[in-house]
Amino acid sequence: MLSYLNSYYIQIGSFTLINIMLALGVYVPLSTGQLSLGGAGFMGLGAYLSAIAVTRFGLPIPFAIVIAGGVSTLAGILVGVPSLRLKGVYLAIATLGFGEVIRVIFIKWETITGGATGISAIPLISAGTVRFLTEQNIIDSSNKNVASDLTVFLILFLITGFFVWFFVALKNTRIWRANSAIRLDETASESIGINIHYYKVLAFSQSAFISAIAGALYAHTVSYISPSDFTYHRAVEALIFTVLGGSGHVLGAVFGATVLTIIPEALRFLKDYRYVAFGAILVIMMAFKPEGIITDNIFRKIRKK
Amino acid sequence: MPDLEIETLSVCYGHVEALRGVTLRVKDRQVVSLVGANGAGKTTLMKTIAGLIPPLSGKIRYNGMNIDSLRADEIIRNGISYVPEGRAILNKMTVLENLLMGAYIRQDREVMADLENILEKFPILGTRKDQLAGTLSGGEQQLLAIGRALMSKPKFILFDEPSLGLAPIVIEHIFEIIKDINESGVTIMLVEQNVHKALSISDYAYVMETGKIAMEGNSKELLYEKRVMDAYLGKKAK
Repeated sequence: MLSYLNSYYIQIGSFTLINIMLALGVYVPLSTGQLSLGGAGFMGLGAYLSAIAVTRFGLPIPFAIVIAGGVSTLAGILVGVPSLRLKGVYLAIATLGFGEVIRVIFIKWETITGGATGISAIPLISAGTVRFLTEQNIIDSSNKNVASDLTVFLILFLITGFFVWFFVALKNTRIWRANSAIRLDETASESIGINIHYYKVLAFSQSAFISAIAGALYAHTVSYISPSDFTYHRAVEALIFTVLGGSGHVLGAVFGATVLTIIPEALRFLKDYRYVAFGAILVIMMAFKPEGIITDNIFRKIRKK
Repeated sequence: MPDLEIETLSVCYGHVEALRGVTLRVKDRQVVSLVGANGAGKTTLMKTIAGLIPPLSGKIRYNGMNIDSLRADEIIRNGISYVPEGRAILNKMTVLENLLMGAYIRQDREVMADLENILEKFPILGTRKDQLAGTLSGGEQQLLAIGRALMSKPKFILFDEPSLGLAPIVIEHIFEIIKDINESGVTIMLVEQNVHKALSISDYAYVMETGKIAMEGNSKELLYEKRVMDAYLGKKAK
């Protein structure tokens, strides 16, 4: 059965899931009105921490991913506390700066990070499962790769599914209401009695956590990372996913990341022109639906019917 | 005694001194108005009491407790609610959601009963309860801002220019409501450009000029004091 599955499609599926996590990393601070472009930095931090923990210290992968998430959350709080005094575009620049600092550290601290060449031969998250299935003679060398890709996809699916569920469930809680109030009017929120700094830092550290987990999973999905994987380009990409999908709703980020990961692949028949077409699609979508594709109004309409 | 006492309070925006040693007192259950020209520091003083701006020096005491170093959300938990200038309602939320947000700090079970009371007191909000707050008229938005402040069950309300940009008949109504709130036992501090109105409903008043208290006295007396008009409108050129 495994031989009918195509590794290429499964991998696109896996990258879609990682991109959904990155898009959530932009969505969460945006739901408090904060534009953070630190996603690439936290993603890189998570990827490197987990890769180093596994390749150098031999830690089990799940444990390494949790450590990467935890340390990055702390880093998120450290960066968040001072920088969240900034607003709008100034916060965006500060967080972008953080991402670049992290990237330069990866390049320069060669003894630990491998410098510009990065870290290779990082074990895949599927490694244990594949070993087990081979021992049990369930799979053999002919379908080992597909089984591995499928395992990676399923693990990513469970983790991404959990995050999406978490933020959908967060709707209509105190935290979510505080976040939306802060996004609408900070002075009003403060005078209602919302500790706006607390909620902003909370959202920022949640974003750092998700981005870092996405990064760690990325490292254990592609098995090779280098500083060029975590440039500002990736942060902007995540922002595009969220804004195009609809920044007012969790499912907007999910939808945006899914569609915009698949479109460039679907356009491969255009060869060299595919990013021209991709760019044109982005411009057209923004011109006709600036608030994004998925909005609260859509859900209101569905409920009425 | 749950009075609000302010002693030699100074506040700076960068190098600009907005308040220079303000001392005043709001007695329990009084209405105290704060009048003065634009830029005199009235709003700054209110925001400082509400915890939105940290003071540089001086003391703010409420109910005998120092509140000058508390955050805005801790101030409101102590029973002081601030109705900001320009209303600052949450325009993409419904009227009902706005009112419920006003009870954000409360965990008790009477929130719904209080909500009913407010909708009864302000029937116009009741008829518009599922409408987005941004679609309300200016006067209705001011009522909503007041209703939202009441939802936190405050003992002390700071009103920052409640008459701003409203028609005279609406202003009349807003001041009636402020009087009612005071009669129900809430202490009120009022910043107003509309000096006559403010002085006519308050017990005591302070006149501010360039970050200082220029004058103070019983409102009824100040109403006939020529110097108040001078301080407020600027001295007439001779």
